Amino acid sequence: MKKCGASILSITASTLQVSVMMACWLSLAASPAFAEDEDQRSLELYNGSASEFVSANRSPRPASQTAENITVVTAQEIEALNAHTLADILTVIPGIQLEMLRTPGTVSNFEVQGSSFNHVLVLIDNIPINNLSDNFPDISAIPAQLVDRVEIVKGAASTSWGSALGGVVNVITKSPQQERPVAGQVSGSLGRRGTADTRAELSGMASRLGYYLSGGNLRSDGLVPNNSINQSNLYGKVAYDLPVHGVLGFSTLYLNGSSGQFALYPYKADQHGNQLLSNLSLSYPISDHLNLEAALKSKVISQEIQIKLLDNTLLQVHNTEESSVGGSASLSWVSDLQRVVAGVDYDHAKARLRVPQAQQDLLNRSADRVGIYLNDTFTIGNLALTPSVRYDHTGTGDDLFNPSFGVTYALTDNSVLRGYTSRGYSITSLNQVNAVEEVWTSQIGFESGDIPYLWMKGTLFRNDTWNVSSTVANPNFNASDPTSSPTLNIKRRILKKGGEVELRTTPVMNTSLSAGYTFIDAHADDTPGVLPLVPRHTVKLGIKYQDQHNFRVLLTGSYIDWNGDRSNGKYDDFVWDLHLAKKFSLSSTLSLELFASVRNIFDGESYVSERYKNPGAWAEAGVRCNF
Amino acid sequence: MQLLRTLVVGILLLLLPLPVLAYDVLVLQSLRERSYDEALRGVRRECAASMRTVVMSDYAEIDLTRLMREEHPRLIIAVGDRALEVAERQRNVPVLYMMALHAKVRPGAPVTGVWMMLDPQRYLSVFDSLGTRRVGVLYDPQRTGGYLKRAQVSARRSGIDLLAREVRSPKETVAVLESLRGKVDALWMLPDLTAVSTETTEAYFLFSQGERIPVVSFADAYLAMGGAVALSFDRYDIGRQLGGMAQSVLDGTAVEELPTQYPRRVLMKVNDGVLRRFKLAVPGGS
Repeated sequence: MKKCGASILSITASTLQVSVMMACWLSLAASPAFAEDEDQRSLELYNGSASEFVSANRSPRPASQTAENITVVTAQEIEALNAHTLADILTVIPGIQLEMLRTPGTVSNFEVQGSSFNHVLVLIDNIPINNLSDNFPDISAIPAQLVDRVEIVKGAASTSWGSALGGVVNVITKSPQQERPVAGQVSGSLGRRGTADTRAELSGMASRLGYYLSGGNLRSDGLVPNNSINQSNLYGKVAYDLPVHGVLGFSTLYLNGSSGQFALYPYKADQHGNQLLSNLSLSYPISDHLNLEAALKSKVISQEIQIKLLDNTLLQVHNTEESSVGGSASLSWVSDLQRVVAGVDYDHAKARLRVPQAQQDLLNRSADRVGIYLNDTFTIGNLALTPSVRYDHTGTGDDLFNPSFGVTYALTDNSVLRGYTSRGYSITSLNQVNAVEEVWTSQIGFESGDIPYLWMKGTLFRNDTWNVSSTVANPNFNASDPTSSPTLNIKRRILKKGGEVELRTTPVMNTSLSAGYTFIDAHADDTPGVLPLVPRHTVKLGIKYQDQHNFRVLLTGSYIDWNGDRSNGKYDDFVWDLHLAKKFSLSSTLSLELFASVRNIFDGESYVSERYKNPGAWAEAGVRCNF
Repeated sequence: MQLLRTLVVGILLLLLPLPVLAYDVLVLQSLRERSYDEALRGVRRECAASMRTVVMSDYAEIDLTRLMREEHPRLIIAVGDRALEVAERQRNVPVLYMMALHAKVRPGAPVTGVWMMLDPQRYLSVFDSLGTRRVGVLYDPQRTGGYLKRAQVSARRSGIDLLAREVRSPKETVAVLESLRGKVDALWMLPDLTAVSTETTEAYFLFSQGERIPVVSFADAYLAMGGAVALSFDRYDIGRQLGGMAQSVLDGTAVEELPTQYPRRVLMKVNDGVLRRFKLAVPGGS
């Protein structure tokens, strides 16, 4: 009750902050007349006063026609966030909870509708970045500049993607610029504690060959103790348009860096390592209705984590070497009424985790994983039915068979009812035979852009997970017994029920609003009451101003009620970030953009553990040059 | 769980007898306007395929990538320049366009359509029948440079001397027109948003009256202002022309095999008063 009161008080205070911000905002928002649309002017050129433009009620966006709850972040939205890494992008998405958001680029945990990081598959160019030892996806290592769009599937997506119990974050990288042989961007930013992000991109197309190259360095002395970073990245993508039809592509991403993880008396931890991800892909239309997609993928990760005392005395070193080589092939057949995708995924995974001091391997194992799937979308009138099945040979545990069934019904051109139910799984470690955790997800939802000036999406979900590895306090712990452990590893069943609402408005006086709210009620079979540390309330807010003079302001707010131990964590506050940008067009191909961000402008506290405290207000500014 | 399943099944059962939503053609339209509707009526006359229309001006943002991934149309018909620009960015589905004045298509892209500009030879025939050999024309190389190059090739063949003058900004139009004084027998008004604007249209007709030379324009609206001849296209027929191409693509013809076409049906209207004043006549003029 006390906790609830504290939350309400903090939300009220935060609401006041929002109201003040809104008032300032609306007073800033003039009503500039936008330049006439080129098409409108063309028609007026021909028809003069006889042109009849019909103004329909504007909607923020068309309703999505998929059965799953999918959120898409586009390149335009990413640019407005002045994001450094994928973590900065995900933090604004309704239903996603960032657990540690500190110095840009340093390690960060996240959840999707309460599903922990090791239940969410993160892909870049269709290569999973989750590691093999504990299925951890290092989202902070992915540089934002190469991201074109991010598609987030909330809820089990195993029938399409395999190990994806809680959802999928699918990162699609930028494509070669098609209009010119050479185009690009150089950018740099500098902020508190020497936080600097320098980047360069080159892109273009010559004849049939397109390329996109990107490189950058992100460094900081650390916004919180022992949270410094120095990370470099190189990315290259080439796409070759095959004669007649089809595209052959190759992409590779190399990441190298070191960072401080945390410092809390008497310990601290540092990590350094590198990753190389490569993908060779083919997209080939065999006929008007039949398309072939094939890919060869590889991933190599090398990482060292050092645990030390604060005086730098080395206590323990963990060395991880991982590799994963595989391929995929799928055939899709599209007709008037049906779309069928059949495919196979193969992966040879190998991992070794060493602790040199202990002179033993914590993990040294390999596995061959194979998945075969069949997805069908069958359309009958306004109704689309999507039955899917997938069979997986996990290589380390039991083989799995997962079905799913989705349905959408288009109420109007811009309103959709959806339902989705699916069984799914995640392999949370290569090391354990019993590391397959499973879920049955069910969702119903409604999405509409028919209400004037408003787009809305509502989803009710129920995620029943079992065989979930959890560490709990040992009730029989005996401190005097050296063989007794204070914690126990158990397998538990967790039921999460909840709802999510997303809203967006069309711009009025150049200003648009967005909001998202997620409620999760989680219970475990071994504990009475609500399960702690599953975020109970998540609120995401955004206010965007963009005028015809290329001036852009974006204010984002995030509040997460972690429902955890308040003696260790603090999360009563909204964390507000302000992003500003002004672009100057110097010619048709050359532009300069000045940008600045003030992050956590009200010094909000939002963390679940003292060890991973979030930084207070900090600012950075930079410049981008597009050519 | 049971409740959710029951709800899903209940919704399914309630909504069974339904019209068809799956479609072959995504019509991506820049905005809502009568001319576009007329052209689309023509498309539907020639192409029986199922279509979904998305009007871009109805939405603050359009994520075409998502639309394509979810709905899998076999063909996009882009109506207007903005629609063409967005449609051309995706590379998987062929695009046919119409009513796009500034259509510039990347070489090799699976994009074709019907231009909004008429075959320059049609205009040159009018100048020929008017007996005007020196024709002045103002253009912005960024907008109509390519069209003018084609016109100059045709003009040389027709024995017409095309005096083309560049304008980079609407402000230059009046001065550039003045530079043609005494040098031309007729003016050719191009549908070029730099060369012809609300502020400068009158200058063409003042020049025409002062020099006693006819203005041949691209739309009927300019006849009432003092234009002598207007050659324009038939929107419904442009739609039919594009509809035929769409049906052909859906029947299996590769877009690359279909060259971009000029509007095939040309409408000519004349201002008799102006022609009489300048002692000119056009065979077949109405």
